[in-house]
Amino acid sequence: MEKGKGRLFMKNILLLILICGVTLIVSGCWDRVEVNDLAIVTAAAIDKKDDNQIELSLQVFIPKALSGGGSEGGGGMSGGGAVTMVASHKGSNISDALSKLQSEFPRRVFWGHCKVFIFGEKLAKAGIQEHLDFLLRHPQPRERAYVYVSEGKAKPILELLAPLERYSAEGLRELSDLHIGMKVTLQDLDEKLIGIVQAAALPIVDIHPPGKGQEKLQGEPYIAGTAVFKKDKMIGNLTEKETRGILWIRNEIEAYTVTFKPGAEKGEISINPIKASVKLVPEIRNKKWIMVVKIDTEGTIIQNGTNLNLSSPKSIKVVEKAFEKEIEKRIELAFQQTQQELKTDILGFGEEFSRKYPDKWKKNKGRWNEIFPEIELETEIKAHIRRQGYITKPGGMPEKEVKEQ
Amino acid sequence: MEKGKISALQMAIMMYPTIVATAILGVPSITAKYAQNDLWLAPIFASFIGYVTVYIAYKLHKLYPKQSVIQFSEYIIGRFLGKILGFLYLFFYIQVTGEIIREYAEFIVDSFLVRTPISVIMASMAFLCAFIVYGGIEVIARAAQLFFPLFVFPILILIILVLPDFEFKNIFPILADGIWPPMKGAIVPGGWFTEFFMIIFLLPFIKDRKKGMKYGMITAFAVMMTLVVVNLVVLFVFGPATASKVYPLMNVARYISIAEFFEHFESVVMAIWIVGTFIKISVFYYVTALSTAQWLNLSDYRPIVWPIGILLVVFCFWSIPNTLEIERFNIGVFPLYGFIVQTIIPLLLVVMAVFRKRKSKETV
Amino acid sequence: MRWGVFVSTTIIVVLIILYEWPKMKQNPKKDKVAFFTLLLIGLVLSMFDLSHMAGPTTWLETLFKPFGEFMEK
Repeated sequence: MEKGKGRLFMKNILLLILICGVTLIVSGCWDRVEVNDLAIVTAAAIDKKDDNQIELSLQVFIPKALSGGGSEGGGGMSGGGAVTMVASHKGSNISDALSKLQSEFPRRVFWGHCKVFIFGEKLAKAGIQEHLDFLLRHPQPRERAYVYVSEGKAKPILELLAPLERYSAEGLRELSDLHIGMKVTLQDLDEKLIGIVQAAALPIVDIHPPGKGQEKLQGEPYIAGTAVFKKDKMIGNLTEKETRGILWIRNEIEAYTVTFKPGAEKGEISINPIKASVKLVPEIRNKKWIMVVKIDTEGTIIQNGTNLNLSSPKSIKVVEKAFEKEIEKRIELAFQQTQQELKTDILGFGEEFSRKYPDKWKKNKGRWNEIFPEIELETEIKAHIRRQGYITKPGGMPEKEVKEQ
Repeated sequence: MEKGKISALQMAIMMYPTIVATAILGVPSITAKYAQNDLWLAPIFASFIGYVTVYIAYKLHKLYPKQSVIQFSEYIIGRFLGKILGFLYLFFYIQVTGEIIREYAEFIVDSFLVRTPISVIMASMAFLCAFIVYGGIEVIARAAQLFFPLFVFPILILIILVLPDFEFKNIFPILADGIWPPMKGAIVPGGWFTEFFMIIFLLPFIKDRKKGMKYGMITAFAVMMTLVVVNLVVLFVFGPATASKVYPLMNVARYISIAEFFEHFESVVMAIWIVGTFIKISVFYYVTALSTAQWLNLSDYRPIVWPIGILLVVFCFWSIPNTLEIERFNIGVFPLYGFIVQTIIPLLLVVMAVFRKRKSKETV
Repeated sequence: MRWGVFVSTTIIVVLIILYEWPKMKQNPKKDKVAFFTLLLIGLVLSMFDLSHMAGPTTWLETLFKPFGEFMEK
């Protein structure tokens, strides 16, 4: 009997030790980090310095500013001043700069919410591969973060106090979501650079100068074209207009207006394309490499500056024709630029060819840089105008001046 | 030794996470290295090894319905050789289980608990599994049943959520370099499929024995389908970048973003992974403990469950200095090693056993 | 020899013995011998710097070298 009791006691003691041990392990306290020990990075900019070093700038959230401003309600947030601060440090690469930055920072840098990475122009021209490696290897930065190249230095963009958004990076991200320019995530960039054509395009960010009477930092960042990368180095750029052509081919067209002159008429018509389906059909005819771009698009008229009566089917036909011409022009302009000037396949034509003609692609893989400038572009564009808005005839125009076709 | 009984369906539910849990995480990128955009074909080829292994295991089981490979190999090739072969199996399962625990812990340390000592993660998993193995096969089967939905549904939800990011044309061109690259890519998942041989340890405890074969085949098919789907998902999302990721499915989960609201899903993958590997390690642990006990002719396997736990953790470290070593083992050793131990040797055993039975019949 | 690992393994081994021993009083002698032998093997192995020591994985890699090289490409 005594013995049994002793054993029970022993067992209980053992269980107690066990439970204590388990609580230590199971709660996962080893890696516990409190939110108020974190410095949440909202955007990062990487610039090249002259002495073979880089400068890493982080836009960090100031939680105090947010909670204080929020409780006042209304305009408290933007009026209360910046909700972010910018900290930067030099280093031989990102991790080096980061560790130096961290040593001056009371909180631990946390990348998990960083959705914007901006490479300075100089750095982009020198090559971004080694920096990309850090961003893809580190477990915290998100593959979905957007990547940009800045016109000039990247740091000033982070320092802006964007008046509309809470902080400038947020504004940039919203712009990308609206498909104003190219929308490229870290993952897309990696895919393009690893892929067979090894060329990529990133949106360029510039600063809209502040209006009169505004403070110097009140500018807004905006997307000002496209940077073209061959391998990991930036070799040139496309203007905003050329970027639109690229967006057409890549089927990323969303929120913008096409304004053009319909045929011989006076004045211009603006159309807002709503839907577009774009197909790239590669063809090899008589040893000639041809890319057929098939576009089927619909749009709504949003402004009519001509005297055409757009409720008549005839004039709609005219407008549709002109619309098709306009798209074609834009695409050809963009293609011309990438093919002849930059000689870089950022449109991914190589991939399309390799998908359709794997055998021929294998034979000519090494010669792609020679083939690409020779490719012919054919367009098959079908444009439809579906709606004409709230009025039929040109607004504010006397009946007899309207041209009935 | 083991008095528990399970049903054939329970066996299937145990085996499915046992194969899939580790296969969905690291294997797609290994396959992509060899097969590029044909990686989704690899599991289809690899699954043939699975079907063959299930068939062999079932044949052996029919010849010796009450015993596991450790016991009947003594009848087939004699006591001495049988013991040697038994030790080979023992060693194989201890070592592979150690490897799996290490792989599990490395993933957790790599992506989530960066500063936690790895031995703590391993020890806590081994500790948990020791309890369930101690409980016996019925307990493992019930746990597997309980966790099965937790393992399968998150995968399905994950796939649905990542649908908007699919780039379907990444799949083309199909078989651009011929059939060879996906065949070579099938070698590594083939190693995983050989693990189906472990049903030989479970079959003796099955109530509805006739269904053993059927459910084994169904499981192999389900594993194949899962791997094909996971490989396709990874390919559709990452295209040529698949091969450069260590845990592609993890990156897929991180990539999910629906309306800027449903984001940061990696904890789901972690949950799948932990639940799946928990079952996987339990089954391997159980097989290890059981075969050790059978090899030593013990009266029960339970007393040695805890000592084996220590051995398993020891094997987690032994001669594995880093994650690269695990990957090298998984690519350069395990496919062939597993194939020889779990498919070729059993095949020889079947041939010999059939030959022996016929001979003994003739003499009678 | 790393004392921290060895000491913690020893503590775990002692705990296991305390936990398991009362239950296996009735078991045959063979079971007890196996129990202690396995514990001893684990304890002895824990004394070494295992992760940098040649072991099963390295042996197997040498054994399967041709296959490993085949898969390297």
